Amino acid sequence: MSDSPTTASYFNIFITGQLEAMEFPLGPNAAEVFCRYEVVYGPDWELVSGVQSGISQTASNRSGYFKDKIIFNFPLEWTFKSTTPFGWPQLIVCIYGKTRWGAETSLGYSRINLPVFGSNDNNPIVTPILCPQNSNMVSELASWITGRNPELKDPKALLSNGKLKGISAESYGEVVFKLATILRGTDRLGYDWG
Amino acid sequence: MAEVHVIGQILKAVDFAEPHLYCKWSLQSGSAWKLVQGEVAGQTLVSSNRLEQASDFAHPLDIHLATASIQGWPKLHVEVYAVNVLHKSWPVGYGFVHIPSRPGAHRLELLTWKVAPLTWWDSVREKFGGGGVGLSKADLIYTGVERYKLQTRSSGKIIIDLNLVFRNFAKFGVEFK
Repeated sequence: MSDSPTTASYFNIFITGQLEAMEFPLGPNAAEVFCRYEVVYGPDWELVSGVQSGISQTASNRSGYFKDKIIFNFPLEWTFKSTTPFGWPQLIVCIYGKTRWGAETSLGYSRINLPVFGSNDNNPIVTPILCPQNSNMVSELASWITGRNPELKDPKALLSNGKLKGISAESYGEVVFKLATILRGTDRLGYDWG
Repeated sequence: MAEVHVIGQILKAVDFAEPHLYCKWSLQSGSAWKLVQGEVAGQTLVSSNRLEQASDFAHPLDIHLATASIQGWPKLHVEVYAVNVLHKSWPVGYGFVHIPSRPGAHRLELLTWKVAPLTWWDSVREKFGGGGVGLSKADLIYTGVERYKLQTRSSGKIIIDLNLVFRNFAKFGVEFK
């Protein structure tokens, strides 16, 4: 606020960790799974190091039991700079599957807030996978014939308050993250991180 | 002015009888509180779980408030609606929870209630997923003044994750201990 002498200053956050695994209680609806991720943040934020979006390896648990976790062990590292916690970075993960016949289809979407306070081994960040549903019978039939699930035109809609109205989704499966947060310069700005 | 950042998500609704649910939420606070950035009301997508009696939303919240007073500490007000195959929706859970008064990461479990069916016909309709009775005044949910007029039934639970960051409270002698 205006009475603070440090408004022009900024703080840094360092996020390190991994996308550890995905879990599908009845097995994934695909032989192989991969994901595309993107980090989204507010206007006062700047990505100092790390990549804004990327693609994971194609992973499978086919050699094991169908219920086994699909291990990704995918490294995630970012450094951000900001003047305010508002617009705290969020991660969107778009999950795709490849069937045995090579067809690629969406398996759903996940989003998390990057941890404000970090997570540890005992409390990993577990987030549901949301699969958008067909809005009418025609598209449902088309989806059944082509074997392709409906996709969101803009996955960032998941982060908005207004654009979600009327979208219907079914959740199936979970993504497990382990992320740690290091802060620099927040005390100086008068923030109480608890 | 002291500032409060609320960053988090409405994670899911559990133990509701109806499978397809969505939430409307809003943040209510006293007149000394000002919104700096963010949105203080919203609506989640309609969600169901393939296997469990739960609806996952993972709906993001990011609110930046400034205040001149502790009075009117903000509370989150949530209404859960069920949707049936005919795209008709009706309320199945009301609730509020105060934003925790400590900075840090909090997982809140919000237990909700709904309005009891008034007539025999209402209860039949509710039982078969054809709709239910709701409140016309939302402020009954987060104020206690007129609650004595209501007859309610217990409903499901909403799980909310909130990360709170405070700023400059110490400068005004406010201590969180």
